[in-house]
Amino acid sequence: MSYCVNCGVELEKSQKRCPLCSTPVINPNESIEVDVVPPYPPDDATTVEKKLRHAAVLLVSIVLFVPLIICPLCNVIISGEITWSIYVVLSVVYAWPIIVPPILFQNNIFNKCVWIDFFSTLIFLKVLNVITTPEINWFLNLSLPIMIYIMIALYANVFIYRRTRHILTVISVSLILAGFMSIIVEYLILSFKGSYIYFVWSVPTAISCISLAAVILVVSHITKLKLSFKKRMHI
Amino acid sequence: MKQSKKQSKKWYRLDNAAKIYPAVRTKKWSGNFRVSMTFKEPVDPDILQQALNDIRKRIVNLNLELKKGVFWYFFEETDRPVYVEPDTKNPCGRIGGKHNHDMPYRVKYYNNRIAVEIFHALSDGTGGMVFLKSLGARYLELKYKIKPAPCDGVILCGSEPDPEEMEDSFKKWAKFRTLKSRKEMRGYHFKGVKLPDRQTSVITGIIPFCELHKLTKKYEVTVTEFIVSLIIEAFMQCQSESRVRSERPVKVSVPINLRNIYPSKTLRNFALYINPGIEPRYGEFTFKEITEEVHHFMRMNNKEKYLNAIMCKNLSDEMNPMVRAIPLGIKNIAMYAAFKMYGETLVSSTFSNLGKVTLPPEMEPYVERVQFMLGRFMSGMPSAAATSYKENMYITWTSGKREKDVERIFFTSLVKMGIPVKIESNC
Repeated sequence: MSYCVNCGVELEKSQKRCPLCSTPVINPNESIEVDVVPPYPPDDATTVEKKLRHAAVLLVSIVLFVPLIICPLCNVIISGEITWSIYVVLSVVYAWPIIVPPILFQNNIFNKCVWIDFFSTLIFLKVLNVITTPEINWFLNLSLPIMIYIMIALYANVFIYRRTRHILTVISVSLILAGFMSIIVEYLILSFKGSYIYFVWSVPTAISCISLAAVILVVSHITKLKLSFKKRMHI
Repeated sequence: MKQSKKQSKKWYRLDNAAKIYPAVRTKKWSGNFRVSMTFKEPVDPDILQQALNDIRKRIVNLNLELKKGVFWYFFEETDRPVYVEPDTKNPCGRIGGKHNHDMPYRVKYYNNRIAVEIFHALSDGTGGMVFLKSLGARYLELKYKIKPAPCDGVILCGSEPDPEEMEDSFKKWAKFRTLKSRKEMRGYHFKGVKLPDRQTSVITGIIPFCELHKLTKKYEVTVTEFIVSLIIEAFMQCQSESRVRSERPVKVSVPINLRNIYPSKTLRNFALYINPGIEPRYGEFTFKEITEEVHHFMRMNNKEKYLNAIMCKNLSDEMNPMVRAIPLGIKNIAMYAAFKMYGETLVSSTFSNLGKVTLPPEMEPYVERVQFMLGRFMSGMPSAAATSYKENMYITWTSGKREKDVERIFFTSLVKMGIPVKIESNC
């Protein structure tokens, strides 16, 4: 018999982790018996759910497939060549990886979907760049750095939320990151245009965001101030 | 010919407690519970199927299907076959199809265990236990050629059905002297990540009953009161750790088997709920204080007169001519809204204790365990059910939440009090 080193409860022989606290079973004298019949059969009830998910994916794919065929066909019939329909095709192809993964995945949806969305957006923008203005590489100079910054900001927020579980801290961090983003975006635009680096709109935006964030942070973290704020502002 | 056969089918009104369940059933959820019996040898599905077919000839409740009327749902007798099926990892899944023919129960088997999952509209835990015992008795009779005595809630196949088994005991025993208001404050709900709709987390703690009983004597409370107190303590700890803005009362819904008060033989629903709890805004309560609060609340409310007043209030709503005249579709919407307001939101959890399960002496050598489990609640709140059989007590927690904080605090509290706990789970 094995006991959970954390909870102190005895665990059934087939249990590899404590169901109460997820601590792995550690018993040097008794290895986990593979042949032991577990108290419940392996998962099969979720097959219905899987089937439903697959059906939903199929439905979405069919709905997206219709404009994928009809638009180029109409475009060719009317204009004799493919012009505007390329954007429809591109958008539909981009929409598929954005819509389908949240339906398909059951676990760790956030991480998987964010990365899929990130890469599909990059590919979409790159193709758009090549199709529309192949002579100007705005993808590398503008889109890519902005996308990377958005990802970093997103993960920074998630990290802070998981560590603190404090919504006001998350809001203030988001404001600070938004302030920095405005500066980065203006810098990227100015350097892309090749003009003189002179910040116009981004600095006031950043100052407002960061000051607001500082106020929220200070008020939410200094108890004395928080109390006095409450005292004066109570309704 | 077919027409006359249809007309001759017997039908039954749903009892008062049953009426809410079909109305609040959704596409993914229905209010179910499960009773299971574990034998010492693997189950033979063919014999189990034969046992089910035989027992259905005797127990009227097992031959009913749920049908829609213009104003109410009703049960109608059916000869539709019911097949035993292999057990699944997530027990107590939704019962009933979308069509107009619903068998309100299913029978499952896995390894040494048979399980009956019942839609609450059909029966309550006590009725469910009678089905299980009778099915188990017939199975053992067919497999080992034993002759179990018709005692301890076992119904034998050859016996004559008693009309009292199908009676609506609520209507029979309600006195309508006064109605008790069901106004209560909303209770604390454990916050956590909801599991996908079809998943249910099941954690069973196996506890030596004698040791638990000795401990409850120390606190001068019953086993149910002691466990309810432990559950309240676990939820209060979760609430204080979750940094909620305003603390809410922690209340546990405890079903009271009215067959212990009124001499009823019904196999349909005949239970009412009382909600002992603690108001954390009064201050911190020690465990001893919680047990005292629960003990006195239970003694105060678990009385025939008070329970009858609750029963009358429930019945008066159902019997109101205005309510009765509303078509079922509109009634369902209203009942769903009422369930959202007065159902799971009022309490933090439910604890249903079926007590000590006894079997005829002929069956005992073949049966290792008898267990009771509630289905996942609509809100996913963790809830517990218990039975004791022979020397052990089986407390099964079912939850629709990913986090296991309540269950962990509950079982580790028992361990800290010196009660050994063995854990089984489907996680």
